Amino acid sequence: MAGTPIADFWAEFRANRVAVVALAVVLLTVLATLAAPILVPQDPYDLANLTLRDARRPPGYVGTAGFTHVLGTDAQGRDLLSAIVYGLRISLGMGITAGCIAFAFGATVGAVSSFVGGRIETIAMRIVDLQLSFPAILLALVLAAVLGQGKTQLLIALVAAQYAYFARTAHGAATAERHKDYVEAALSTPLPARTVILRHIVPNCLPPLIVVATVQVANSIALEATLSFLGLGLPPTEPSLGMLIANGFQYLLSGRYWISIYPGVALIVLIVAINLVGDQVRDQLNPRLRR
Amino acid sequence: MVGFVIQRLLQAGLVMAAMSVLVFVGVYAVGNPIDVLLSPNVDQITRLETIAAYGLDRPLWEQYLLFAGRLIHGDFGRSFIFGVPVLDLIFSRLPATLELTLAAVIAATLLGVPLGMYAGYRPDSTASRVIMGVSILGFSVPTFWVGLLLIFVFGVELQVLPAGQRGETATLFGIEWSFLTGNGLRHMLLPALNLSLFKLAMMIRLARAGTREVMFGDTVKFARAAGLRERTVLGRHVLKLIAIPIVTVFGLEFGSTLAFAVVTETIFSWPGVGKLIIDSIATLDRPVMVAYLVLVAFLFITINLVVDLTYAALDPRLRRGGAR
Amino acid sequence: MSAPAPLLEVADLATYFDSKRGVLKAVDGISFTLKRGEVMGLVGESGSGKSVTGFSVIGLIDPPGRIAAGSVKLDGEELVGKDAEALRTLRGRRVAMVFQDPMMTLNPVLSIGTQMRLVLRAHEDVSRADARRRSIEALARVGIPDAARRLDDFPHQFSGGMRQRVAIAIALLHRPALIIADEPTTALDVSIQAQILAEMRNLVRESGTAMIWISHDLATVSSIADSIAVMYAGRIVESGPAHEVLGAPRHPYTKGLLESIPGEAPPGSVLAQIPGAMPSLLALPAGCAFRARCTYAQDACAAMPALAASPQGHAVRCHFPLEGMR
Repeated sequence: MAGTPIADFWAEFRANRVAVVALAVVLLTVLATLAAPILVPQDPYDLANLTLRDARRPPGYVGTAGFTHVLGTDAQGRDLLSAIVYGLRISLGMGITAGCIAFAFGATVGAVSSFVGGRIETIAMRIVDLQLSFPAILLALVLAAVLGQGKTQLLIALVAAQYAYFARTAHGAATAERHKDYVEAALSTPLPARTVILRHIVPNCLPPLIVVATVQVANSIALEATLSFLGLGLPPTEPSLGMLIANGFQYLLSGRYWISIYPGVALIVLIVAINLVGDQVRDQLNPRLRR
Repeated sequence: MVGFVIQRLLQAGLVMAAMSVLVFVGVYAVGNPIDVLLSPNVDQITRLETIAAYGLDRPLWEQYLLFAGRLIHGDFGRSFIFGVPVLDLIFSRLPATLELTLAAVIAATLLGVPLGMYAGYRPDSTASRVIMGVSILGFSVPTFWVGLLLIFVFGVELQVLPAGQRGETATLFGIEWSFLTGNGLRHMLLPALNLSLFKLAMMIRLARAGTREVMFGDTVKFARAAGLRERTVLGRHVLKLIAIPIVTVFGLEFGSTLAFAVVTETIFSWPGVGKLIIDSIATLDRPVMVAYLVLVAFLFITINLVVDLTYAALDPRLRRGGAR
Repeated sequence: MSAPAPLLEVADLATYFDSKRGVLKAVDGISFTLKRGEVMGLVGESGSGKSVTGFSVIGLIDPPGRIAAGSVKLDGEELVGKDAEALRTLRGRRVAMVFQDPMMTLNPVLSIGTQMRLVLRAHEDVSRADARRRSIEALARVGIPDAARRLDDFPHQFSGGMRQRVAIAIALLHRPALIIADEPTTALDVSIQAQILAEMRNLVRESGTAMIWISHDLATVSSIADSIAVMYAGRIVESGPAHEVLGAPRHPYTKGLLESIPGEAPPGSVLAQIPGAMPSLLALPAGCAFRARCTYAQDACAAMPALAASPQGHAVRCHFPLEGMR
């Protein structure tokens, strides 16, 4: 029972072994992508390193450069392990960036509209609801199509497809807090409203938003991979996991499974791990599931 | 009830109008509208004629009214690539998408609801844990990746099922359908399974959460205290209580499944609207893109409307406006 | 003259709930008997174990709860340890239950007729027409006007009092020998409470049904019960004929409960309160559970007093019982 809230939270989190393993996977992935240049055997995008003699070799093949391609090579003779780590780096980077922007934008829209109230609140939330009923993938698809290819365009598409979840959550939480007695009481004291908002309302709105954030980072990664797979994502100079998988798709039918399958496995492990961590955090933060 | 229907119809009309403005601004006003209407390689005279015909020299609001007028009459122009009216093109592809989507949503509901109810009824059993594991995977794993795996396992390695195209079709009401032939059904199996997995995961979660909540409630206690069999408690009381959110989701998800069909159709070369829109994006066939957008928006608004009305019909509390 | 065999015989019943923080002893060794047609009031504050007692009798204790010891005999037939199906055929047919809030217990999305038919078919093979006829009869019996027409209505179309009548009609469908009523009037308006109370008293009297009336409110219990058992922290602290317990309470807790009823005090006077709160059922102190709140407590109270009965059947669990005076 003793300890800071964070220590208590960790103690409860630790009790779920699956979630701990998932968290370890996420942290290791982040570390590996940060240290990618010194970790992997080959810089997969330095064309000087590649020879077509090494192309489409199965896992375990020892290449001309003298090292073993543990996961095989792709159609350009690139070491797949290296390509996957670099791909993870791009996918994770896009997912986290899009998640953060959507968080900031969505939470602002939700919280501000809750406080401003009136017609602006009604209209803003109506738009958000409409967007929530519209599948994110379709919205992203349309935006990617209209805006064209590129990193910024893709980020806009991802954020547009996701901010509504944050806005809805922030609006709900802020409105609920706003009408609680203790906030009404605090607002009636000479304390500046800013203090009340920062001290009371923001901390109480954060837990549900954090839960949404974990889920949405995973969703961003999956969405980005899907768009890249469909050829609507990042340009070929920045090959994310989705593009690696797409490039390998044509070889899958002829039995060269590794070019598509291994990047896919990396993608799935990352997404499942993030979702498992998110599930545990949600269960811990949801008072309704406590008993 | 009548007032409720009218109110919802008005709302739907309003949203549709807003969507048409958005599409108009997004595709017509931002880019050069002539690019949307004509392929780049027509001559200057046709170009000027079209500008005059579509009133592109008039003020923006007037242009919007013209645009909306054409939409209402179903005039979306011609496809640059296929040279046929866009609407005809889309309607010729629609049956393939519809049958795939329906098969996926129905399969997901028929499987997901019982599985989810079981997982909610016996949350600690091994079977429930397996069910929930499948559901987490179904949620996490992107559709396109599952599609790849299905093709690899059943199409390439085992070679038991076809991994692309619609197969043989048979004609019903003047439309070609795959589900009417054995060969067509075999072709449908993998893509439908692929498309249904996410929905299945969702149905399981929904049914499980609903069942868990209801099982702790007094309604179930009262029914048990009256000596009802567990089967009756689940099949009559619980199912009816969780039916409302499930029907809602069934409707809403039908729409989003249509959208997800984009991915599945691309992977399995299923010749539906989803494949059409991806191809049109790749070839910059803008009339097709506009038409698809407007039709999907229309579809979504219709589905939302139908769900709202079904909701009202299912929930007696809403139906009679809380009258006592 | 030999006494007839009791309808219900509960002996040393203990119902525990296993939780992460230990074993919660919701009911810890209670005994009582109920004659045919007798109405017993089971009184206590929330958490005293009175509702759990009701559910234990009817065999509806779900994990993590369990009946740890004791016996429940209905018509001489042991119920503890019976398999689920045997208990099910008993529930609703020989023992029925009415709950506190009919808004929560009736299924909002099924018509009253459907819900009644499901209950009938749980124990009998009845045709749709028969089910309808018997449901209408049952509704009419509990005073629902125009019963035939209202059968197709949904719960929300009834007023609070009418809803509870529907719930009672459902409980009476199979003409059970025993009804367990768990605070059936608490959620209702005061004026309707009195109506329902009177109605139930008449119904059980006419049909000879025994009833356990569970309530935290001694005032309502006093107008319906033949006998009263007062529970505190999972045990019965006082029991006996209603007039004895109400007229001459011997346990300090019962006395405290009676003194906190507004109607019993002179107008304008300050109502008596029992100081403090019930101890946690997870960590009950040794000895009398009430002693921390008791003005009469002495050192001897650190040992658990036995339940001692007078020749009139008035039993009290106290080392220093009050002398029948108020």
